[in-house]
Amino acid sequence: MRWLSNNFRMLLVANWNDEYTVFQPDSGKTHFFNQTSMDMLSFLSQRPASTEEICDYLSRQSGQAPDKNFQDNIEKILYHFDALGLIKKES
Amino acid sequence: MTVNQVPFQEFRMLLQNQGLKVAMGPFNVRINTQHLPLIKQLYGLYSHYRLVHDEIIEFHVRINTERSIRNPLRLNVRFLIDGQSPFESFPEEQALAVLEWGINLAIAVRVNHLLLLHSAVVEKKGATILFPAWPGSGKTTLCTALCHRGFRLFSDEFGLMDYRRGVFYPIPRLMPLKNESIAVIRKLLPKAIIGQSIPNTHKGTVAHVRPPEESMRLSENTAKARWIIFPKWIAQATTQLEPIADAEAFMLLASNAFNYEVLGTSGFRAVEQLVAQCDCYTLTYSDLDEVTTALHQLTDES
Repeated sequence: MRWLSNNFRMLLVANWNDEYTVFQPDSGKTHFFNQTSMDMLSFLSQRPASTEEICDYLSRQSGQAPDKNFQDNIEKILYHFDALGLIKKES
Repeated sequence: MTVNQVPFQEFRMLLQNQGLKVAMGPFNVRINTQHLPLIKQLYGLYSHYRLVHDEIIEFHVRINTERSIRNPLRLNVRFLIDGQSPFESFPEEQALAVLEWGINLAIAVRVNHLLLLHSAVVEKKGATILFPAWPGSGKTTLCTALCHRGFRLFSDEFGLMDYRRGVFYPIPRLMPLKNESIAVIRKLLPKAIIGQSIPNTHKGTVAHVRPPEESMRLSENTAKARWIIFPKWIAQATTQLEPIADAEAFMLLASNAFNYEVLGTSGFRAVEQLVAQCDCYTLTYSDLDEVTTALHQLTDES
């Protein structure tokens, strides 16, 4: 299964020193993201990717080992993004 | 012309007949009532309010008296806006509090051309401090102390931001102290004009402070925000101003706005602009002298 961002170009983003506030016009909600979350969303706006590809990319970005704990955290964020309508599964 | 330049009999006639039309910041309000005790209270507390002639009135409000259904010997008062009653009736002793809460409600639900923050706002040297906070944080008490000690009152309740111009409108009005704060302010500011205590309201005992004359006189002078301070009164706490991250301030500020989500993109950009131009802090305090000194120091250093 691969993920891709949903209307990424429509999001309004304010950058506050590697923390981000993001307005999602589709829902009218404002979200708070750290750098990892923003990197993930930005990565998925370029092309669809599997969870493994996302983990691989983010571990290289952050310098963290892509261990089980890391992957679990990424999956939680993906689940959260999916619930908010920020990403969707590739059809 | 201000209310105190009108004889009481004329003031009473206005309220009882065509309506008393007064400016409240950028809004004009017409008030009608037959309730004489309320008229007497308003004459003392609204004394520096500017009378309005031949201007558009945003809010038409009325305090009516009616017999209590449970106890026909008692009088109740009911707040009406444009002839509609948004909440139940209250004992007549609470007429002033009901009027003020009713006007607050009208502003909170009807104003969407401005970003409406739930915030006290004071000004010094042309720049404002916002104190966004929900009820119970002590912002009215803090605001009352500050506006009698060198700061200009914008509001104890509403931060009215014109996000197209990036400025805040003053809306100085009566400040409703609650419970223990009433005695604290009476002792701290013996010269402040405070109305009679109104017991047994749904917020406890309430007493209204008359805004300082200088703040009323300058109530058409807008200003930009320079500081955002999230206050919290904690018993026995020493005064502490702690900087907070901009992203956290953004989320706190957005969650303190009445109409942030209604404004959508404009709301987001307005809060972004505010946080970018302000220094943001949390404030814990218990001593009003101490916190006043700290805030003067903060504003003087800029």
